[in-house]
Amino acid sequence: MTNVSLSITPDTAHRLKLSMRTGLALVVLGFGMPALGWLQGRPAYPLWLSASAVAAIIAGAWLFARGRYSGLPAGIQNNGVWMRALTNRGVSGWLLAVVLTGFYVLLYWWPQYLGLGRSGAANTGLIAVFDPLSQLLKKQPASEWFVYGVLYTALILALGVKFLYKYRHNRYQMLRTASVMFFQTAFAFLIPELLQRLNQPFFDFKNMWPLNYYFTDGWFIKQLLGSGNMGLFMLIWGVLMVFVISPVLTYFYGKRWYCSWVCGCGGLAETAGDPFRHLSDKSLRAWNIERWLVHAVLFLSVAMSLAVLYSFFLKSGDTYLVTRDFLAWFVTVLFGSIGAFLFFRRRRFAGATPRHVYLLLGAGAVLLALCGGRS
Amino acid sequence: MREILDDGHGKCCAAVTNHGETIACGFVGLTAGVSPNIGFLKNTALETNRGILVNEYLETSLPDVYAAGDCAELRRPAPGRRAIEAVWYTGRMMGETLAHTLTGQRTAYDPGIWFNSAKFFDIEYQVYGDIRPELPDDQATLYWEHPDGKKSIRLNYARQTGRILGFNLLGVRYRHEVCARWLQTGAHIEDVLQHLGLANFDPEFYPQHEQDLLENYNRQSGKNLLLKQKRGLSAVLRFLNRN
Repeated sequence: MTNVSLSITPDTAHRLKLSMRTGLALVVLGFGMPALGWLQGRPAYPLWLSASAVAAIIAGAWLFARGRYSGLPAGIQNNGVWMRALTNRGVSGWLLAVVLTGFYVLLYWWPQYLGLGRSGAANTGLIAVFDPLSQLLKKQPASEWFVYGVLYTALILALGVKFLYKYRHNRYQMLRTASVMFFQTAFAFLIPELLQRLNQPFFDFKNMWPLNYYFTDGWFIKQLLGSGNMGLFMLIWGVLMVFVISPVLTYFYGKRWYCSWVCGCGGLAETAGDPFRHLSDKSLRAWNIERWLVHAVLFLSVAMSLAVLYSFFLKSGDTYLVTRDFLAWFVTVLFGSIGAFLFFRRRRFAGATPRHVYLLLGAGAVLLALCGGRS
Repeated sequence: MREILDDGHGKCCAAVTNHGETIACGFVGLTAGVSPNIGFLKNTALETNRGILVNEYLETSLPDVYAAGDCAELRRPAPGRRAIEAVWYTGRMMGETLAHTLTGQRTAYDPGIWFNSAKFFDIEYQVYGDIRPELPDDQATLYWEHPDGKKSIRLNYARQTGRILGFNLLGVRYRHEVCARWLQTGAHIEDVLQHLGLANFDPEFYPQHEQDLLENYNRQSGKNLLLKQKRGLSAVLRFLNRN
């Protein structure tokens, strides 16, 4: 048995070993190579640049995790998280937050600064770095979302490996992490990209409405309906996910079947977010705010989706089996049955009170008013 | 203990007792123990012994003064229980009990069955019921240990009646409500063993050891019991809601 310090204060046990430093250097290199491309702005890059950047991120994280956890007894090791700047709101923690937020701002509002070529122009900078990888996968130049997908998947794989090391004593966490790593790589990243290569619509089979908020958009439905049997299958699959697969699995296993086994958001939260869990607000107030927020967002997304569907069917007349009247009936039956179910079986759903049922029915009535308004 | 001896490489090799005896060892575990820190109350009107003396309502010798937690010493502890139980579970229960009293419902302290759980370095530990350091003559024990030495299960029961008396677990989790129900109803050891899946509280996909423990029992008793109840939440809910 090696000499192991179980001290919870910073001491020799928390000094970075050579393998951990090498690992961190590789991760920095992995993110730095594309970033250099961003600064340089050259239009053509070799494939090995992006491929080796991704490989460096994953290998670096693996080296770091090995240095950090192997040799220590298996079991949750959170020693020192309150002592490090990165995980206790120190300078490096804030720096990371600002960089990440800045990246998202550019990604959503100003992708041209990441190098996205506008109106047919070739990509430059960061996005051009990933052009060869995109060409390889789908025979199209990269978009800002392709770059984001590559980095997101690389991050889940890299920090998933670290999580696997940290939780190697727990078979549940090992299987769960392998599952989110698989779903992110295959379902969220590779399959949609390869579908595009085969001239099929971009479709993430595990990304269901309302998380997939464009599922009810007219352009998306038209795209699916214009893509033959495959498109029709995607449409039916998407509806089945929302109304059959998800409710049944959630009833038996809880929302974790999606949030921590399948979903990419949960995947990142459980891998990249793991060293930061202790910073979350555990107060009752925070939980109350969270509940109001998630339900308000759910209500808004249902309302917006209905509005979008409504105008879609308004324009398309009687072309489709589904009409505006059908929508109104659908809302009535859906909210009525959920309300009745909650009301009569509220003891089964700990905490559901009549007040919740009234809130739900009220929300349904507002949505119905939205559908019922004739123009 | 007087001294810990160094092996010349910065590691311990022996401990010397206050009687001068030298005990060779490769590891020293220091247990300082817990004692109520009530020195500042010694010369007051409050009646104290090792801790602050309280009755079953946690009332001290002075009106409107209560004591709860590590500092409280029960004048009449329940049979088989200690007067001072300095663990946080009992501290929390005393706090809840006292909250009832202070808000107008005078409530006696009832800690239920003895239980505790903690972590020794990275090995989790749980105990339910009566597990003594030395097995009394009227008790029998059933023990199972994982080959890796990091998991073990011990069940103690009455030698004559077979009544279950205690659970002791290292690296394995059992469900509190189920163990408490078995202990309170005085379930038979064979009934417990055949339904041991009800007690399994490890995370999903963990190896299950109920069968191993049952086989140990069959070996030592010459019986041929079969495991009737495997792990499962709905069976647990049915069991707990039965009466």
